[in-house]
Amino acid sequence: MSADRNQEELLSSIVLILEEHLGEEYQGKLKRDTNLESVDIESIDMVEIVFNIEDKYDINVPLEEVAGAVTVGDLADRLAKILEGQKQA
Amino acid sequence: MVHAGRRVVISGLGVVSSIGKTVADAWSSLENGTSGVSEIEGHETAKLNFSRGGQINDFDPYQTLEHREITQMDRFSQMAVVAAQEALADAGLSDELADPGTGIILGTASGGQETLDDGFQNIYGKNKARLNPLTVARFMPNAAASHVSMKFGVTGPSFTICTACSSSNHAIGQAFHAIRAGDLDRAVTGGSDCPFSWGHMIGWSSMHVVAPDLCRPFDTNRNGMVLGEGAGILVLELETAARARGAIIYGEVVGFGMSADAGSIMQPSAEGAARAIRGALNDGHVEPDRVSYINAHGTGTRANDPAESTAIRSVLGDAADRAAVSSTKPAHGHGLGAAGAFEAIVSCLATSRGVLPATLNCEDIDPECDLDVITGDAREAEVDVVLSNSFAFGGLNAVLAFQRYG
Repeated sequence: MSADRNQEELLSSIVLILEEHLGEEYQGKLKRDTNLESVDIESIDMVEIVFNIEDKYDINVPLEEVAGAVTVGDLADRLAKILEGQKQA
Repeated sequence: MVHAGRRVVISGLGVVSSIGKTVADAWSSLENGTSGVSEIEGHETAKLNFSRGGQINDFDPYQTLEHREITQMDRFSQMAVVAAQEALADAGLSDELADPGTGIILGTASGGQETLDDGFQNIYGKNKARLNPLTVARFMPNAAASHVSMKFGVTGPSFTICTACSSSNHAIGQAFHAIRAGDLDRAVTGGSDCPFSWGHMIGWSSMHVVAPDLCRPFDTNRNGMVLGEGAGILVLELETAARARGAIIYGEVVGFGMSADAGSIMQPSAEGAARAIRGALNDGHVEPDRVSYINAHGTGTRANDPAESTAIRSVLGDAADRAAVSSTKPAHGHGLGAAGAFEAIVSCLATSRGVLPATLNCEDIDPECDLDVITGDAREAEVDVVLSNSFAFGGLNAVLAFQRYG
């Protein structure tokens, strides 16, 4: 249960970061299955989004481990793995 | 050298300044003698030796730009793009922008100062090891020109000139020469600067050249300049093309002169300035007695104003008695890299409307500034040729000459 809640919190955080990056018109519109390309997220956007995530969680996110993320949920899952990995380290 | 056939005119104007975020509002302020200088907000100015500046507190890029454009730009780029939007709409250019004969030449003294300042605060103040990945792309001085190119699809020769307070004059002058020589058919030119970041202001405070109270160019009691932010953009094009499409023509650029003082990094040289003024007149084959108005560099510092006055006298001789002079820096602030652009816009409108703005706060003209300085109210006058002076730190001088069109 706690792990699910953590996942949900992580997803909400990422959605917030994405909304801030994309602007007001995207507020409330991003869901777990939202395709990142469909909201015009390009590689330069991903670099900035990753920076904001690194800043928020005080972690290091190798860009190549998230660059292939297809959906918002996919991005959250990849970050969860990285967070888990860095916690254990 | 005579450049037969290729006359260059100004067909579009755009501005973001403390006296108006449109050209109409800015000109109205100048006619009415309104200053945009006020108490600087957002900083502990008690730690500086000045507290006032031409800050644009209600600048909202969201009125013109998209969120994702804005996040890629420092404030100095945002203002340049917004001013360019006004200028290009004013000029009525659209398809022509993609033509390879369209270029962008902008000036800036310091580029993305706010981004740089934020970055330093994060690194040195908060010990951060990383910065926003767009930091370099935001502060690089060419960013404004790049964003204007991206926003309006301009693919011709585009670059940025960085010569402190002369940046915009150099940019406009280069654009003028390029069109006259046939290297360009039209240009988006001017400049932008946003100096109100903390570190930058400490630098200025440390130089003791910013007035603790008011900027009073040419006044006996003048005690310094006032900083200002913003952007000024002009559209320059071939006179034949502008006329053919029925564009409004604000005036004609006829001359551009440049020089270097080869003297001091901070103190101006009357001789160096005179060479740039003479250069502008010679370039345009303009006799000194045709000069009706000079928009002076007129910073209000102890050093600049008498040196500039001497320079003007030495070039114009007796004709200086008939050339009205004013500095509009007390109104819009010293725009640094945008100064020349602000003042070129003022010069164009003074030429086309026959109204010469006054020098605010000048009440007692210094005898060492032996010129017809306009004080009090704006003055109506029939204008033939206007000079606009810029004399930068480091002794890099640039002077533009405009003449009334039609």
